[in-house]
Amino acid sequence: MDSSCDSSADDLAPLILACASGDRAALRAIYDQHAARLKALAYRITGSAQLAEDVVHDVFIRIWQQAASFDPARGAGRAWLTTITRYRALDILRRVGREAPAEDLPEEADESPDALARLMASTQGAALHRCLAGLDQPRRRMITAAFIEGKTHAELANALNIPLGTVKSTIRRSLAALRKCLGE
Amino acid sequence: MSGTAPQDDGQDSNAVLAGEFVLGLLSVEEQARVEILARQDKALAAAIAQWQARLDPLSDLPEPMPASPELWARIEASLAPQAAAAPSPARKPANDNFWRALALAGMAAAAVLAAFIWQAPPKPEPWAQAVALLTAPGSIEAGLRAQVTRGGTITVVPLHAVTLAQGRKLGFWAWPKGQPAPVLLGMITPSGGQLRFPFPVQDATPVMVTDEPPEGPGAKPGATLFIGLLALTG
Repeated sequence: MDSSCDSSADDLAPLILACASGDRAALRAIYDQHAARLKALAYRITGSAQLAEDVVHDVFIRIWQQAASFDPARGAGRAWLTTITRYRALDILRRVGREAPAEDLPEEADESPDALARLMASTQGAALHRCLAGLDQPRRRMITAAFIEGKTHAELANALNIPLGTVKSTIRRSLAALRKCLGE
Repeated sequence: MSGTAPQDDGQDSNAVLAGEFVLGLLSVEEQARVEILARQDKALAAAIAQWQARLDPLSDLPEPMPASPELWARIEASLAPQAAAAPSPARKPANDNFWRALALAGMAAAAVLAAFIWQAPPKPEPWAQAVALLTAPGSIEAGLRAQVTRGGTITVVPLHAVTLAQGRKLGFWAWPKGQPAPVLLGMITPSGGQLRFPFPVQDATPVMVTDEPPEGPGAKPGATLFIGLLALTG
């Protein structure tokens, strides 16, 4: 189970630092804690379990290589891992072309009790949940679909059957509302 | 947003751009542009980091997927020095078609390469004016590191063993803005070298290494082995 933590106690930072010194056990510890979460994210974006494993492989090589340039002052290690994973998954998706998801995942899966329990396990997650609840369901869905599945403006517009310009402006307003709600 | 004080406008526009960037909603070209901008604009970089932190908890929503037992072994194998990033003979080299495609794309080479080269700028030494990590096209493992000093010298150091056919050498090229094509700075061996860098150092200048005969390239550059972007320091 992923040990979600408060940003005030980032237990990843020492592990990442240890990776920078060549400590393989530290990389393994990060892997044990986060690989499943990152693979799930990569799977949602690429639609392929094999590609998802390729993404996770690339992510951990990159963590190893870039550990020395990780700056804890710029943010928690967890967000760094998530960012690397999303970038790599989207990059691979562009190169191979989008594959159809193995199963048609119902939207409700992301709002299931288990999913919400995972989200609320961290302070940041609970705050985000509270602020997302301030958006109506379609707006909430746009944000999560873009982040978790890598949906583009065009794909969202198609899926929701609304104009592209409306999707863009709606997301901008939703981001502004989230930013305001979450404060600094 | 209504009621926003004038001095917040820059923050707000950074926040919008950063939010869309982090959500992955920008086009490939826009994304590349933001990546380059963020290297120079600390406020934009901070806005991006803030959105990454705010949205990160969303990654807990999907149910975790246990990795196959072989995955860690794959990772370990890739970390081993023996599994170096020297390109395999089977790899299709990006050669002059690549450069032609870049020119035809009509976009700044740096913007295309920023999307194409999946790397972040490395930490420079104090005396360096610019630094680049060069990777094999499509790879993520850095093969070479290049640093430009204030004296106008570029030092190239291999990070893993670079293997070439007998007698071959490496051509080191830079493509400063304003040049119609990459410029050969000189020839180096697989153990690295030092060359003159006779251009004003600009951020996001592409640099690349090609496989050449010992006397230097013929009419066209040889196969591109490694490619990177110079990142200004300080």
